[in-house]
Amino acid sequence: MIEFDKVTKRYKGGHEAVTDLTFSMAKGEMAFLTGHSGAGKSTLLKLLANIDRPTSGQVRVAGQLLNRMSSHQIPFYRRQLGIVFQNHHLLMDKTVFDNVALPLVIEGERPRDIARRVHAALDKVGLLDKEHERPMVLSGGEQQRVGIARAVVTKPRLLLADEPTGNLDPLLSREIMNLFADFNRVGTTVLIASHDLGLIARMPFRVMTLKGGQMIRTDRTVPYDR
Amino acid sequence: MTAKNKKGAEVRQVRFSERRDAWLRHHQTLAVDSLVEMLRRPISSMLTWMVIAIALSLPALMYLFLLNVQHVVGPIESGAQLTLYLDGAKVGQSGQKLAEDLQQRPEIAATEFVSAAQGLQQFREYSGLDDVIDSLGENPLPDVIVVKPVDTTAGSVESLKIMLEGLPEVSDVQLDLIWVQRINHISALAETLVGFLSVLFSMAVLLVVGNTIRLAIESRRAEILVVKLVGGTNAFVRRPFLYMGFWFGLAGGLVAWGLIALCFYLLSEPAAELLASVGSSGELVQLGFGGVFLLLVTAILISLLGTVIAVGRHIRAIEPS
Ligand SMILES: Nc1ncnc2c1ncn2[C@@H]1O[C@H](COP(=O)(O)OP(=O)(O)O)[C@@H](O)[C@H]1O
Ligand SMILES: [Mg+2]
Repeated sequence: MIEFDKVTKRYKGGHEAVTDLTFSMAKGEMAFLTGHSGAGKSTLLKLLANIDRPTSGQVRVAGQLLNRMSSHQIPFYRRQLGIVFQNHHLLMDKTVFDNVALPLVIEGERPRDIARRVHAALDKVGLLDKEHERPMVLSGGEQQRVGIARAVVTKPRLLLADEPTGNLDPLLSREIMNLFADFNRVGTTVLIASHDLGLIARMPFRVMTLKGGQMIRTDRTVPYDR
Repeated sequence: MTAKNKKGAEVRQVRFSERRDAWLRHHQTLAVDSLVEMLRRPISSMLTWMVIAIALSLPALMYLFLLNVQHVVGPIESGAQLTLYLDGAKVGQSGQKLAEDLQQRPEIAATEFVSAAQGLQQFREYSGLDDVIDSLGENPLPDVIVVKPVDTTAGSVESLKIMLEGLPEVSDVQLDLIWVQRINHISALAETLVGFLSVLFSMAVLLVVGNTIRLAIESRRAEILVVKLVGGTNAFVRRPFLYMGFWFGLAGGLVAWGLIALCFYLLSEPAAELLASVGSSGELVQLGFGGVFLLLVTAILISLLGTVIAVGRHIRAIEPS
């Protein structure tokens, strides 16, 4: 599903955020990306979302080479992804329903289908009763779950999340991680950047560790009982 | 075609028409939303409308003023006439006869013979210089024939003049057309000026709308970023702003119409008096249905153009990083 081949990203000013990175993820796999702040986790996800382009090397997602993608193709590529952002990126003056519906409106779905699918996504994250609220009045954890509902409402093949449990309490963090595991169980490939090592260690998924822009470890933890 | 293929084609057909319906509904929603958005900020929106309206109503009013001047001058212009000064020695007493002969010609609408004695009498009446005239002893004025041409355009009046100058009884021909020509020249000049000002004012509208849209884009920068992050195309992001530009143009055009109507209302009485005093029976030339339509379409097109320019420049620049 994901292939990085000797990928280097150098920002203006010469700083290398990721260096000579080579790894791959299979279709339907779920993995964690971890490492200290500044290790290059967000950069790696931005390369996957085609927000940034690699300075050298190749990034492929589902067989598509991202390096060569024209600016015209990028929106259509992004529609295949679900992205959960660290700072939610919600529209604060729109309702929860409208926020989650946005990717479907962009795709030109029928209002009836949109309503059905938004309700299904909100039900999954447990926010069905909040559909008419604005994100402003929701708690941090609820806002994060709205972001997740928006990311999964299109049933993407690949789900990316950057610190989705960033500032949530342990119980809530655990719930959200389980939510991602649920999506993975129905076939979605999931990659989550997180430095919550305690939480990650207790989940049965592969962990990739970045340090100074390089992959220093990639292994699987022991499956556990949920 | 196999049954299975046919079924597939039908499904695609249904799918396509559903998509089109969804697309239409999306546009309806956008049109309404952008109108609501504009009306939600009445003060700043109204400022933009007013600027558009003023910039459009000024050249429109100037153009209407010109039309009216031409409308008033037009009937007077048909009074263009030639004055033939007769050579007394050659004509003798047959001046009246010559006038009647000339009237038979197809290019001449009417003639009037004014004998030297009549001329002196007229001069005496309107000058009031009886003493001076009495002291002259002999009448210094020639016999005169006033000729009104059928075709009053400059070229044909000029050729008529040349023909009349060739008559042996005529010593001189004066064309009483100069001031009409001057008015025509001035109004041609004014037309060019109004055209030039219209272009300038249209550019002002372009810039004002462009700036308003630029601000609207800036204020929704965060939203545009999110839309692009979840796969919105530039076209999708552009759409609501284009509708906004349309509404600004329409609203500005309507206000311009209102301003012009107000101006006509204020001017109607003095204008009627002026028209009556110059003996014009006509009424003021108004904007009319076609004029209103043209005004609104122009307002919308200019506003949309300003929007397209602003949107093209600023939306592409907003990219997630
Ligand atoms: N837009 C940018 N311009 C310059 N340097 C950047 C930019 N984004 C990230 N970096 C640098 O790249 C390195 C990796 O950053 P990031 O990928 O955000 O790390 P992480 O998400 O693991 O904390 C950091 O040293 C950061 O300062
Ligand atoms: Mg980060």
